[in-house]
Amino acid sequence: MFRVLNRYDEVFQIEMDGWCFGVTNYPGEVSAQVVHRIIRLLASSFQTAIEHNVVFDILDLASKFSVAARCLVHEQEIAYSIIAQLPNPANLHEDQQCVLGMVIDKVEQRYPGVLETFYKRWQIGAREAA
Amino acid sequence: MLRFLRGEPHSVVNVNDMEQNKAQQHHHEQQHDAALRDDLTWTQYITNLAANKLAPPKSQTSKVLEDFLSRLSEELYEKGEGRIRERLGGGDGASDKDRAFQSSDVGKEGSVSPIGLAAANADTMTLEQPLVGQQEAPQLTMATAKMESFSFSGNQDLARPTSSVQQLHQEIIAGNRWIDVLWQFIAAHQKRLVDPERLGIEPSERMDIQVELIRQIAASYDKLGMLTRLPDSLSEARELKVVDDIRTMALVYVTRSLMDVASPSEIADDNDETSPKKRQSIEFPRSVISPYEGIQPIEFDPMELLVNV
Repeated sequence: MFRVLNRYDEVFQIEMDGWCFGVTNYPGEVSAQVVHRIIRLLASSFQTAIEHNVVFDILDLASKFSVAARCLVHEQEIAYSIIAQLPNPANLHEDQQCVLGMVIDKVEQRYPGVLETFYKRWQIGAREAA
Repeated sequence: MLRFLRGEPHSVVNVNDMEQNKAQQHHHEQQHDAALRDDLTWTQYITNLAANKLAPPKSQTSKVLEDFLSRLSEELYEKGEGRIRERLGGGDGASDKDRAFQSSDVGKEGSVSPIGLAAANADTMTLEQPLVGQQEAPQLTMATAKMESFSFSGNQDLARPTSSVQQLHQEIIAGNRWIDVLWQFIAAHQKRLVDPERLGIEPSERMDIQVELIRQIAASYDKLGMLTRLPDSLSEARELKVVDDIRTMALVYVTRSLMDVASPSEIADDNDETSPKKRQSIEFPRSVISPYEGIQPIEFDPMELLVNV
């Protein structure tokens, strides 16, 4: 296991709980678009978490967001949306790639085929960047 | 009957006509719906603008104002000549002329500007949206430009000795009419609480104040349009507003959590540089920082702008 840097796991946990709290307690209607927009906003947090060796549970996070959004968005959809925001492994160090692998592995076990789907996507991204 | 026997559908023409009529009716309905939708969008935008400073759909703004102005132009210059003559004959011209002279004094040294008067009474004047000074406005909308040419043409005409009095009167009346309509439109849609009557401003001076305020409102639209990063789409702007609200609640949660986490002894340890229990500093992710960071807010004092006009 890799050592978490700068206690970032706590920060990440508080931040995610904060967003879930916001979504849960928002008085108006929370649409699927809003949930996906929030996930997109969290892209930098996911990247920072991986850079700080935090192996976070995407399924748990997706489930929390889904419940917070009154189950308007299925947790699988949220899980895929989160993975789509993860950084391209080509831009990460070896340790960080390993952390990313551990993060995705939990989702792959639950929803087989995720890794393949995103691997293709990352390859295209890397090719475009080159 | 022969047609029928030959197998020709004699009612084909009628059916086609009916279909055409149906299609036309459907088209009209669609147009009506689109117009209604535009109206609704516009009203919603106006009501949201002051409170949320959402992106003004500039095209919509200029479109509505231009429509108004072009319609008025037609009415006043093509169909409404009789009405203008009637108003001229009604004895209103003298007061309008006086009004023109008064407006020509605005801006001269020593003269008391009606805007200044408004500013003096401005403690009773509430604006839902800050005004932007005319000197700061990068460009005025077409509506304002047109309005200027009318409202201030009195000054130019007075400077020209060759201009006829009747033409001058016509322009003044047209200018008044335009300003009145625009004012009504803005007052109705934007719910501004600027009431010159309540402020005790003389009717002859109201027009100048209205002109200035309309001009400033138009300028503020441009200014907002330049500074905002929000897209033109209202639905997307609404979505961003929701996300912003949720973000605020998330920040409240984060702040509260952090306050709860640290006990007095932990805080004491943190403040003590030599303490072995001093905790490592933690960095907040960028996502909890406002995405509007880096954009300088518009800082101005509406009172000062009003006085300097």
